[in-house]
Amino acid sequence: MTDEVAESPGLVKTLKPYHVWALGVGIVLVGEFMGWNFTVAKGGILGSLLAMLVAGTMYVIIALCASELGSATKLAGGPYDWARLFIGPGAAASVGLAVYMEYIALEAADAIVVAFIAQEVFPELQVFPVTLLVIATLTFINYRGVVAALTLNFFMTAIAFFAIIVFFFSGTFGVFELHPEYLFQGAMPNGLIGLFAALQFGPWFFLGIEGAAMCAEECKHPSRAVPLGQQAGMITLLVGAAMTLFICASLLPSGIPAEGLGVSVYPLFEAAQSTGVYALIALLALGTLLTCVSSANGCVCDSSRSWFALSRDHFVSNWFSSVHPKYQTPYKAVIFTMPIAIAFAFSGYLDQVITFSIVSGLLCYVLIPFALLRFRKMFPTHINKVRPFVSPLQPWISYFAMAIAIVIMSTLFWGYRYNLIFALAFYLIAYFYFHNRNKKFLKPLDWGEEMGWPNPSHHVEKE
Amino acid sequence: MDGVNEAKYKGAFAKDTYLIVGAIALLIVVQGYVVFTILSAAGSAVSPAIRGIYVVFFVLVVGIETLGYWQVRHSIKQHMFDFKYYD
Repeated sequence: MTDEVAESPGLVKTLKPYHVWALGVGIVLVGEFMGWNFTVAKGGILGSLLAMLVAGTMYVIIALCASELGSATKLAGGPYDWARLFIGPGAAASVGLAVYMEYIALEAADAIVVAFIAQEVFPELQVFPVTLLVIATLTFINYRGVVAALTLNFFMTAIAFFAIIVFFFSGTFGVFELHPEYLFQGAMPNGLIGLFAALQFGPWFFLGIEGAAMCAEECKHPSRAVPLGQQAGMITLLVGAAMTLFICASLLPSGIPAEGLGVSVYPLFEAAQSTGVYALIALLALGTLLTCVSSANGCVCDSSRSWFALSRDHFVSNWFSSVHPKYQTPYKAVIFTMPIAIAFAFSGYLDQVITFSIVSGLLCYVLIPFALLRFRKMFPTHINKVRPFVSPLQPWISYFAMAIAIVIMSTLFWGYRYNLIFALAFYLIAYFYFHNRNKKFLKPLDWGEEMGWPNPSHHVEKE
Repeated sequence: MDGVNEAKYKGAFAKDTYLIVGAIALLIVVQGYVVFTILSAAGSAVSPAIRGIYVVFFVLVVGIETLGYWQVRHSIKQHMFDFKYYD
């Protein structure tokens, strides 16, 4: 054996496929409990269905690219490390920062929602201290160890997903009455333009699944755990998305876009309330709460790994790249997620924070397939040492995913044009800043020493 | 394959295969049911050309994921002894 457990001492290598599943689905499933239904406000039920299918196609491809790259590189930085190895330092740092921002903004939004739910149950609670408590507790759990954090995520996510399955089958097997007429009444209220506009909220169903591959460096057998766990996660989300859309659209009216399902805050929970079945109401309330906590928990894990990877390569202060001697976690990077998440949480602009997270994600969805294309060009021969998992239908599906990401990004011009322009300008400035900063620490990449790989096909030995 | 319990490996690999086949079957059944039911209910609200877009993306999402997950099984089968996946 084996090249699998030899590299990068420091982070503990204990994670299994179900941890990868828990990390990926744990982050994303919250989008099926809330947020996805804005697709209905824009394009009706058919707009939502199209957004789910188009975004689903893009994310299936992104997840396959991430599985191939993650199981090959086995590094904690995920998209950052893939861009660093196969594109270049400026793009890498921009992607690393985008991943960091994507997850930390999502963590902040999740923590706020947990606090709001807690306040609804216990009206005497204040949102500010509960948000702070959630962020601090999850940071502490991640500080103590990745296995405990992701095992906790596994159970929370499994319960939340179980709630969706029970709800769906209860409806289809007649435990409560569905309203098929709602599917027709709210089919396409804004016409074809609504179908197109709905695409901008399609990523809610799946946003962040690429992050499952970011625990590759901490997996016992990354070339099995990452593709197996990540693709199981992708299927879980596709199944959950379809069930959620169907059951909510059959229970909550959407004939008038400004009312009902399209503007619901907690659509699954409100759909359960409309059935009047107490057990389902309690189950979906629990699912909503747990999925927010597991999403925030997974976001702490992924954002800290991205910051850790940026630090390890001197893009940000090298101080953050320390690994805890006892818990073997990147503890300084983990702790540093806390002040940034708090700053996002108390900016007071939840929708702006989430939109920034989506734009950051979409930027990654252009660069992840591009990194895979470069990777395959540099290492065209499939050998165990470099490329243990080979995704199908490449390179065509990578080009297709990039095109879908750009189309979805363009739809943000309806309603979020300033956010889009600000985010793109932010990453452009970041690109040039990091490109210049990297010159100070630039050293040629030794593929054999760093990755244990042969030199890439275009490599020329210098005399 | 020195020092590898082959029976244990075959059993563990079979479990992975069941997981993969089960997940793909669930995906096809649930996505197919939901897409078919919603398009049927929407009826005349959807023109045949628009309906075609839904069918194309349904085939893409299910087809690519099915091929991809089956490729994962192939990869595990190919490397399980080299990397000692089940020890």
